[in-house]
Parts: sequence; structure tokens; C-alpha cells
Amino acid sequence: MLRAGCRAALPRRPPGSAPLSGAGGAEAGAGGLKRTPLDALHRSRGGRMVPFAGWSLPLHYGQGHLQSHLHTRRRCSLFDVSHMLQTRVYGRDRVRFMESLVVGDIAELKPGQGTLTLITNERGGIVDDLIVTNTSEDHLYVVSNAGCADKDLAIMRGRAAELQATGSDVHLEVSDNALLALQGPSMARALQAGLSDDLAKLSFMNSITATVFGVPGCRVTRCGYTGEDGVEISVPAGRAVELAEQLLGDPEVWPAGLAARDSLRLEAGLCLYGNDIDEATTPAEAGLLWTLGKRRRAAMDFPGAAIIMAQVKEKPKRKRVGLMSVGPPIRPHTAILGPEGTPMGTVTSGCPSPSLGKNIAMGYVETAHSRAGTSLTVEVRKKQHPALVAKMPFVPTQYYVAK
Amino acid sequence: LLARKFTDKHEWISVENGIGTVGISNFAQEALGDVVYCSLPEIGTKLNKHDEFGALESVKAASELYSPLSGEVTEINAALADNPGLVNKSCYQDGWLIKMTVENPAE
Repeated sequence: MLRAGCRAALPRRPPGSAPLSGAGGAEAGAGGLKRTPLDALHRSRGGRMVPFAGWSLPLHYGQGHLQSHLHTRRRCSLFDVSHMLQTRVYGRDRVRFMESLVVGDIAELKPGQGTLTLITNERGGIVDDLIVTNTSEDHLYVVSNAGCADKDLAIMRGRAAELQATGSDVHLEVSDNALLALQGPSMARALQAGLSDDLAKLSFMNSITATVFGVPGCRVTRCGYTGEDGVEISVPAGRAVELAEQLLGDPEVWPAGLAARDSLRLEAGLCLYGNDIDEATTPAEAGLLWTLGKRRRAAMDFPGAAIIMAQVKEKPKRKRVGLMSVGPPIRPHTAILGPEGTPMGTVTSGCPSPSLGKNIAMGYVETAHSRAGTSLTVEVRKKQHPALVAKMPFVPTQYYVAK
Repeated sequence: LLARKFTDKHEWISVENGIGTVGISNFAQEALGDVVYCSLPEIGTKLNKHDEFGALESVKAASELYSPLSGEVTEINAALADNPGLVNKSCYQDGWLIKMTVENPAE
């Protein structure tokens, strides 16, 4: 009965993800996996460690996946996301550098403001999804997927070298800070206790530097991957455990792992790179056209612009949709059948929703059958079951905006 | 005293009066995590030893179930439809999965 049961549904790792030095203060552990600064803390708290994108990370702790997921929505969870790549871009030409790679209006970001954006390729495909923040200091702060770290760094370093060769002023620094995500309705209360800045003034997608629970030099960004009000705290590696212990000292803050991270983001309608978006999906197909900057659309000065803007005009042939069903859960690679019963799509992410008690999924279907409310069929273990196209997010989001 | 026999796939079967009750082991339910859905066969389904007869779903993944013996399904545990967590809480008692006839006691 048991295969590598849990691992079968873990997000796909891109092929050839080799170890990378420098990111997240890594040291190679057992099996060549990198370890975050919180590795011993996870193990001492009963974290069930699994490999993910070349790192050893906790899948869940003693309470299990379901309780951890629900606790995040009701109270607060702390996730170690130090595996993600954090890069700082310095230099007078840093915005021009960034805009040469991504689709967003980076120049228009106010000091402290960040945005979700996409690195695209010449075929209009998505190379990675990432958050770029215009710090009120002298650099852009970039957070991108662990599974794309080697790829993204090669692209960024290559472009920086090209620009430097023509006299531009830009250089990169990979940060070895830990990254802690604190997510849930109790986050503001729990974090405010250790912060002198007023969190009521910090809106979604904005970022400050601060001393957090006595640890100076932290970057606190109000963002996350759960749909809840939350922050990601970039903290110097040497004091990451101390900060994590302070946060976990609050009885409402539980540690949470990759399992809850995945079910929470799916409920929030957020894409997982490698499953829901990849180099073979375009922003129009993925429903991510909102990431295209207004100025950038007109200038068409991002990789793949001609292909991408053509799809803005004439809709793409397939679209990413949400699905809901009851009965057996819908998992990735499940076939989606149209009203005639012919296969016309595939599921890219899916799980039973702990919050809703129904099954939720994301997948691509022919555009003609992509409207919310459309009745489709999925094939699970050779049996057909109805599924309804549903708007996302499946669970309402709670992003905070300062008054 | 009913003898409970275990397969190498972490299922158990306990036979009384020619009817076998099938479930999963404690090791299996712990590894699986919280069961949220049970896919079980219809009554009357004929199974050969090692046939896949259903699956247990956690939030994260599905684990297929394989028939420990050859026989016909006579009953499925209706309590699991509303309370799939019984598989975790009571894998040897209330969390039983199916009952089946035992075609070949030698198996």
C-alpha cells in the first residue's frame, strides 16, 4: 500500500538543480542536501524532514498537516522559507537591469514597495515568479523560487555582466540571511510585541528594515504564500534561531512545514512554479496578465513581449482555472474532460481543502470551457466524477491595507 | 481469538467464519497522516490477491490499497464516509475498510 506516499505529491523539482553555495547559509547535510540555519530547531521540535529543491526541510511537525493548516487560518504559523533565493541588486542602473528581465513596472515602485512579477523568456514562457521590492535604501530586494535558484542566478549574473561590459553600474549580492514567514490573523499581535515600528502602517507588499525581538538588521515585508495577513522576515543567519524561538514562544504561533504551505497556497489560488506555471506556460494562459506593467505593455520591452501581447489581444487557446469537486481528491496529472467527454485539459495542482471540506484543484483547460460555473469531468482511478470550474481564491484572502 | 495476519504492504486481514476483515496497520496510518477520504469498492466486487481495490487519501497524497487475498467484497465500512479519520484513530477496530469472502484459505 505504501509507496513514497507523501513524496509522490510534493512539487516537482526542476531537473538538474545542483547545490548552490551561499544561499540561506547552507551547509551540506546528509545526502548532499543543504540545511537552513533552523535545521536543528526543526528536528528538535519533531519536524519530519524531507528533501525539497536540494534542501532538507520539515514537511510537518507533531500536530500533523491538517491541524497545522487550520491553525494558520485561525491563529498563526511560522514557516522556514530560507531555501528561497534572496538577492540584492545594487547600482545606479539596477532598475534598468531588473526591467530587462521581468514584465513589471519596477521604476514606478515607491520606496518600500514590492510587487510580484515574472521573469519571461523569448518564447513568452515564464522562467520564474518572484517578488521584487524597491527598498528605501540603495538596492532592489529580490526573492525567487528555490527550485529556480541556479537558473535565475545564471540569468541575473549573465545580464549584469553584459550591462557592466557596456559601462552600466549594477552588481548583485546573494544574501545568506534566513527567511521566516509568519502567517495568520494573530501575526500582527505576535510580531508587534517585538517591533517598535507600527505594523498598522505597513500595508501588503510593503517592506521595512527593523530590529525584531532584539535582532537588528532584519527586513520585514508584509507578504506571503498563504492568503493570510502575514510577513516574511529576512534575518541574519547567525541570529535566526534566536528570532524563531522568540516568535515560537508566543503560544499562538506554531511551526509549520511544506505540507501546510502547499495546501494553504492552493486554497489562496497561488501558483506553484514547476506545477502550475513553467517555461511552457505564458502569462495569458496562466491568468497572470495583471503582472504586466502598464508602461511595459506599451513599450513591449520585456522578453517574449511580441508573443505575450499577441495573446492579450487574441485570447490564448487554454487557460488556468480553479476546480472544485466532492468525492475522491483531484491530484496533479489528472485528465479533465469537456462536456462531450473528450479530454481537453490537465490538473496541475490539487488537494482536499482542509478549510472547505471539498476538493480543490488548478489546471489548464480549453478556453471555451474556462468560465466559472462550467461543469466538467475529471477521471480519477478510471472512474469519472463531476467537477465545477471555480473562481480563485477558493478561500477569501486577508491581505492587510493600512487606512 | 482472531488471528490478524499482515501483508508486506502494511495491511492486515482477520478471518472469522470464512469472512475476512481488512484494514491497514498502525505503521501505515501513521505514515499516511490524517485520512480525509476513503475510496472503497462496491459490494460484490471480485478481487484477486494483490488487486488494487481502492485508496486512502490524506491532504498530501493518495495511497492505493491492495487486496491481501482473493475473494468477493461483502461489506464496506460505511462509517468511513463521514468519519475517514477512524482509519487513523482505530486502525485495528472501528477503522476497518472492507469485508470479503476468502476464496482460497491457503493464500
